[in-house]
Amino acid sequence: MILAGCRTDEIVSVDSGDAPGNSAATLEVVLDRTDVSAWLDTVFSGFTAPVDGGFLRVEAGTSELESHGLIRFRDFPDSVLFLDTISVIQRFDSARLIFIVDHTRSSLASGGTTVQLRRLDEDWDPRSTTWQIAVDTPGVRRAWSVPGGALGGLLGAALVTADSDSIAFDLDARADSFIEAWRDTTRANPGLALVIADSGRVALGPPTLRFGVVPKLQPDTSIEFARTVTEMTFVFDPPPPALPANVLRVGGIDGWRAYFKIVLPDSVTVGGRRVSLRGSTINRADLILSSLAAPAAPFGAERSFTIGAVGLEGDPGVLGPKTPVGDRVTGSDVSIAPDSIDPGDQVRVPLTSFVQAWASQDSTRFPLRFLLRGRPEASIFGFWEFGASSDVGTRVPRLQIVFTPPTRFGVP
Amino acid sequence: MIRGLLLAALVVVLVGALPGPASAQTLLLGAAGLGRPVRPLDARARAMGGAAVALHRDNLSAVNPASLSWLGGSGIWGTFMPESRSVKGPGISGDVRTSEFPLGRIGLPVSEGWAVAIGFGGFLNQDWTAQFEDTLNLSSGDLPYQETRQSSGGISQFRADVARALSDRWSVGVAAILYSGEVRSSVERAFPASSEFTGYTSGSAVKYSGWGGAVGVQYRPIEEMILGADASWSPHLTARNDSTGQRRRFDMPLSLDVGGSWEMTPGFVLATSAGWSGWSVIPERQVRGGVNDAWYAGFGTELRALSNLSTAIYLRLGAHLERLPFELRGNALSERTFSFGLGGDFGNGQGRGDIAVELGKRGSISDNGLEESFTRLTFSVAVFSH
Repeated sequence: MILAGCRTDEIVSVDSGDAPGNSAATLEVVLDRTDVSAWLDTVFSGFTAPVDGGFLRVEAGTSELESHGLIRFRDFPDSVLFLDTISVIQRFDSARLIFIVDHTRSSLASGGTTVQLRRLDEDWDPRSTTWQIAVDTPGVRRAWSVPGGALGGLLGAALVTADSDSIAFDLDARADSFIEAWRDTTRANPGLALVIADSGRVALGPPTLRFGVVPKLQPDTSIEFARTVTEMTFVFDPPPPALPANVLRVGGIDGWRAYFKIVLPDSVTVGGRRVSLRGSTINRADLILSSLAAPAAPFGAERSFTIGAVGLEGDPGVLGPKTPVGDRVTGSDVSIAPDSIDPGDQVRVPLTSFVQAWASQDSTRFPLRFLLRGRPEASIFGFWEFGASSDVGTRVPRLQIVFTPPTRFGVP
Repeated sequence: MIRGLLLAALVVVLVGALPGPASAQTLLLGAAGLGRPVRPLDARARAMGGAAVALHRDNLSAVNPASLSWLGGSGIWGTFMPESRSVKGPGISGDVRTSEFPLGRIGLPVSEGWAVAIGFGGFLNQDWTAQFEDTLNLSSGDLPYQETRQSSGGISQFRADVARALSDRWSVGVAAILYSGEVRSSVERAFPASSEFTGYTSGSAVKYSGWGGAVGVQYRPIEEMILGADASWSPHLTARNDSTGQRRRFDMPLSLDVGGSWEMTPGFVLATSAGWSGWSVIPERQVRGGVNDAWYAGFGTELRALSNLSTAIYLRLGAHLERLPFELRGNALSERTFSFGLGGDFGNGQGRGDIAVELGKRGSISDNGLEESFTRLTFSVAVFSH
């Protein structure tokens, strides 16, 4: 190939066949489970819960999912600093609960969807609660008296339309009784619930509570404060489907992770000759996943999300989901766009730096051990699925490695 | 005291210039064989067509050891040689700038008729960089890349000369020469940033070492004429790659030079020299591309254009023809040069500065597949303690 034009530097452009000196040879191999000493891939979940998602999914009447949001505020002050003097709080004279609407994952009924704010009558544990279970912690397991949470009285309602950036619920008349109750640490604090009154799906961001405080020293004055939610989660029904055979699942609110252990050969055959992979420069290495059909609603990823690789510090075949997690694999993030991915499409997860680290090691017993997970985990409700190594044909995961063996320099 | 200062200055010159190139250089012709020969000439000799075997006045080039015997006084001198060249041929193009230090010496008349000098000079230059673009055919699609292959370094000579003036007409000299150098080779493959492919770089170094000697003679049949001859030889040059443990010995050539200069009228000098090196002593199988004996012939004139009690200005012209030892595409390479220059003696001969400009060509597209047009500048500065 001719490099067009002249360069005013210290380089002479030549035809590739005429170049003097020692050359480099860049080669490619594509390996599946039949080409390597060992290939393990398996899936574990339960590393995250809706409490980790940072959003509320409230849904009803969609024939896909029923979901209630649960929120709780704690740690309110006993006194307030007013005019350089600390004053005991006489009362809370106002309270307004504000939610930001996330339209990217909301699905509203025509004419809008109504969100109700309700009391909750039973306490719950934010990490372990589900549609059926209120608390599931060591030593305590208690089901809801009513699946989805024992809802109490209606506190307010808000219509969410396509133009709604946010919704708000005023508790002004009941502000003092509510916040006084939430401030009382000697009693249970069941918090509040969000439910859909008609039909639709509404995703909401973490709420902010703006409340007014009347100091005892100045009873004719109200000072406004804001507080973000202390605990927030949602419960839904039905639960995610069990993992089918021959499937790798990644992402979702439950934190599905695909674990890999691949024992690469030190050398591979390329073009009929044996070439050392170990000791070579890895120009690029990709784990090639084959997408399966989108998971049935509502458990397919509801929007684009990122998956990435993380190194493992142990053998997932032995330690299972308790395998210690290591460092992120640099540059491994890849976006999964549900709207543009079809069954059979390839998803390439770059593992160049990880395989380069392997190739630089002397030990022949050092396998590739990593996992794939959503980044950040639980940032979306749904997940995505790919063919596993136990699958057949082109759906099996493969490892493509483009590498350049060391150039052999000698003497003239 | 002055000699002490000169010795200290020489150490600085040696440390600062060791060995050879002053900056990263490029010469694709340097990829042939063991490289491109670099003669240790000063700017005066370069301006006079490379006629450095026998010259009137102080001859600063490190060619004929006998030329030291008529050194006018203790001195230190050095030469800097930048070059720009345009390389062209089918499938090859490039504009290149290089620079090197081909000569640095200190000379000391030690007693009646005796003189010594130590210093360094060029010998073989292997600086070049070649670049091309190609395409990788991967299962995921074609991927363009750029590959750069580079060689940097060369072999220098470190020499100690002793000369003796036997009479007003005859002088002789000998030199011990140590050849030393290192050539670093590398290959680098770069991919487009958007491909997220990691580039590839690898390199290695080959060290060269050897020793040799030179003898020379000068004869002045009449006051206005100097004739000279010299011979140099080395048993072999050893190349070794410490990272692979590989080692190879190359037989080195016998080199012969003859020349003379004639001061036809006061202030007007004609000079010529010619030389032959038996590089074909190296077996063909040891040198990729072929090797042949090298020779050169040069001719030049010098005119003293201006002089007074403390200053003299000289104008010079020259021409040079040379056949290089290592072949490209199975054919010998030649170098043709036309030169001119300017020089001056200052401070009653205590300072000297010379400039040479050489315009020339190397190789031919029909025989070697490429041709270089070059402009080479040479600057020399000398300080004496007359």
